[in-house]
Parts: sequence; C-alpha cells; structure tokens
Amino acid sequence: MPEETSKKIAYWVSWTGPAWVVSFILTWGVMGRNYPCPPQTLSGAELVSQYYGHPSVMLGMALATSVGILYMPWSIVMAYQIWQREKTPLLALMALSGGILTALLIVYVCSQWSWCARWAGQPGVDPEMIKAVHLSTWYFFDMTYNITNVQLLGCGLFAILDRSEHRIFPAWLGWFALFTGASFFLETIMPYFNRGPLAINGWWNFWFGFIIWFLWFSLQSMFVLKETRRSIGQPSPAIAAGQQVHGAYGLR
Amino acid sequence: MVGQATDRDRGGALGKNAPCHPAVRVPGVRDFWILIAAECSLFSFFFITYMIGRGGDVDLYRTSQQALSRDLGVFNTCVLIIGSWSVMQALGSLRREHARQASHYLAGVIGCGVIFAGVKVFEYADKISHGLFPTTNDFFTFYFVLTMVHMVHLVIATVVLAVMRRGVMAGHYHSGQMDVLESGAIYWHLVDLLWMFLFALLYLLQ
Repeated sequence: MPEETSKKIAYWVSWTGPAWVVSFILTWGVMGRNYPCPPQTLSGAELVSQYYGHPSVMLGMALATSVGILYMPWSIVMAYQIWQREKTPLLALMALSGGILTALLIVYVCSQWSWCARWAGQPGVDPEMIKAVHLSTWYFFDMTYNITNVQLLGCGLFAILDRSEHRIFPAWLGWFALFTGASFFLETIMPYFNRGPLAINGWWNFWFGFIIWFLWFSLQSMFVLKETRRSIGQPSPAIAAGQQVHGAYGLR
Repeated sequence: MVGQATDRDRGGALGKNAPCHPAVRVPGVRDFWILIAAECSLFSFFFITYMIGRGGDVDLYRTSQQALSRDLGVFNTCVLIIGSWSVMQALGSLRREHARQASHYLAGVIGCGVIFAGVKVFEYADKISHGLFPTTNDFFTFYFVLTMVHMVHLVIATVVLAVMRRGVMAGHYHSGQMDVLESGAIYWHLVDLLWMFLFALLYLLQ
C-alpha cells in the first residue's frame, strides 16, 4: 500500500479520539447516569429501583460498550506516531499496550453494566446479586488504573524527552500526562471508603479522576490529529525512513 | 532641548546606544510549570472539598483537631522553611560557581526532607496507637490522606534534589545551565507552600 494512503488512513483513524471522548461521555456518562455513579451505600433493592430503573441506563451502557472500542484505534495511531520517532520503540509499546488494555477494560465494564441493567428488577433475580456485579465492576474499572498509567507514562516520557526539531507533543503535555497518572493513585484506597471524597462516587475518586483523564485525552487527541494531518504529503520522520540519527531514542 | 543630543541622534529612540531592558526569564524548565499548575489545582480541589466537609460538621472537625499536635506542626513548618532557604542558598552558590557550597546546601534540604518525613511518620504512629485511623471519621480521612499525599510529594522532591546534588558534585550544573536545578527547587517550594495551607487548615483553623 502506498505510504501516502497509509498516512491518510492514519489521519481519519485519529478522529476516533474526539469521537470516543464525545460519544463515551454521552453514552456512559449522560445516558448511563454516571454523574456521578450511584453510591455503594445503596442496598440492592435501592440500586435496582433508583439507578437501573431508568431505561436510559441499559441503552447508554450498551452503546458505551460499542463506542468504547474507539479508544483502541486512537491509541494505535498515537503509539505509531511515537514509534516512528524512536530507534527502540519502548515508549511507543508502552503507549500501545496501555491503550489497548484500557480499551478492553472500557468495553468489558460497560458490557457488565449492560447485563446489570438487563436483569435488574427481573423476577427471580436477587437485587443483591445485581449490586454485587455492579460494584465489582466498578472496582475493576477504578482499581486497575495502572493499566492506563502505562499508556500515560509512555506518552508522557516521550513528550518530555523528545528533542527532535519537529515535536509532535509539547513537553507540557508530557508533564500533564504524568500528573494525570499520578492523580489516579488515590483509587488504591477506595475500598476503605463507602462515602466521602474517596468513595466510588466521591469528589476525588470520581469527579477529579475522570475529568482529568478526559481532559488529558482531549488535549492528546488534538495533537495526534494535528500531526497526522500535517504528515500527509510530508516525508516520514528520519528513523522511519531508515536514516542514521544519534541521541536518546535516536533523536537529536 | 536644542543642542542636546537626543536618543534619535544617538541612533533613534531604539538605537544601539539606547538602554536595554533584560528579557523576562521564567525560572526553571518552562513546560514544567504545567505540572506545578496542575498540582496547585489538585490541592486547591482537595482544600475546597475539605472546607465543604468541614462546613457540614464543624463540631466534629474541631473536636478531632484537638488530637493533632500543633507543636509538631509548627516544628515541621519551620523545617520546610529552613529547607526552602537552603535550596535558595544552593542556587545562589551555584550561580557564583561555588559547586561545593551548593552541594552542602542541597544536603541541608535533603536533611530537612528526611526530618519532616520522620516527624510525620511519628505522628501517624502516634495517631494509630491511639486508635485513630483514616476511616475513624471525615476529619481523619482528610488529615491522613491530605498529609500522606503531601508527604509523597515531599519524598519525590527530596529524591529529585538528592539526584541533582550528585549532578552538582559531578559538575553537570553551572551558572549557565541551571534550568533543571531551578525546576527541582521550584518543586520543593511548591511542597513547602502546600504544607502552609495544610497546616493552617488541619492544625489551626478553628
């Protein structure tokens, strides 16, 4: 396939970034009524009636399962931009693997909540079982933040350490990526708190965490789009073209 | 006035002999300030949620606050201030190309970091031995979590400055190349500043 065709595909695929953040917020956030998620102090019956009783939740989670996968092609395109500029693509692989596993996580948890929405309130289905699946899914979503941290670390370090003439990500975005990853660490102690800022639906562990993550994602998407568009019709980076370069990661 | 040379005569209002104003230089690595701004916003968020929580049960917060040692809080505040003074002295020494002196001052900062962490660990042990845990009540949740998060930042700052001290001793830094060292110093000052707010909110606010 001609290189220019690949570059055009990369540009169009990079639009999955903005598509993901907008569609995920609308489906999982708004339709799924995660503003914030229900507190874990609710009983099974309360959870079923007050949360899963809303018909938009099942549709929202089903759609979120579908659109959640958009995180994957975006991560692939972003990691590839980094790959082209590394002699040894370690950071690119971190960005790629972290992104793919995060996408898997997103579609899995949304499918689980779809299941909960489908069976909540059905005859013979114990509400406490719905609550157990609901909460365990939240724990799985929140406490595996380090999967996304691998992606953030790869992107962040690349942006900070890149010394090429034409940088695709500014260094300040790299620092912000590292900050985003660090801000997730409080999720580790979430199991100890049923209420308050550290609970699943708390100001710190829910609002701050998700807002910062979406903000980083949006900023990163902007630069990925800019670069994929710019690269159309331009020569590939020196390393990708097989030229000899020196310095950290093969960059001057 | 007539007969007197003007700036124009000397080469125009912006002529070559006109006085130059030095360009404003942002200390440290420029992009690093984003991390500083993000950390400030994170802690501002923490402080606001603390104040909201406190507003909901002032008596509980006041009563729980009695369990904290203001003396240790004041001591730790002084330790961090001394550390900030020391880091400024280190930068000044390096600007005068006194690398050995700078490394001594940086050792002082590292020592301050170790002392602060030691005092905090002692405080935590004391609280826990008295049956006070992060899950005891909302105040202690804030106390333990906020001070522990702060301490993580302090440990990072201390380690970073320790690494930079090795660089100073190896001659990697000099008056013409201090951006990275300045960034380390700025991060220490951030830790110091955040402690001022924490001390006031957790230990002093009645």
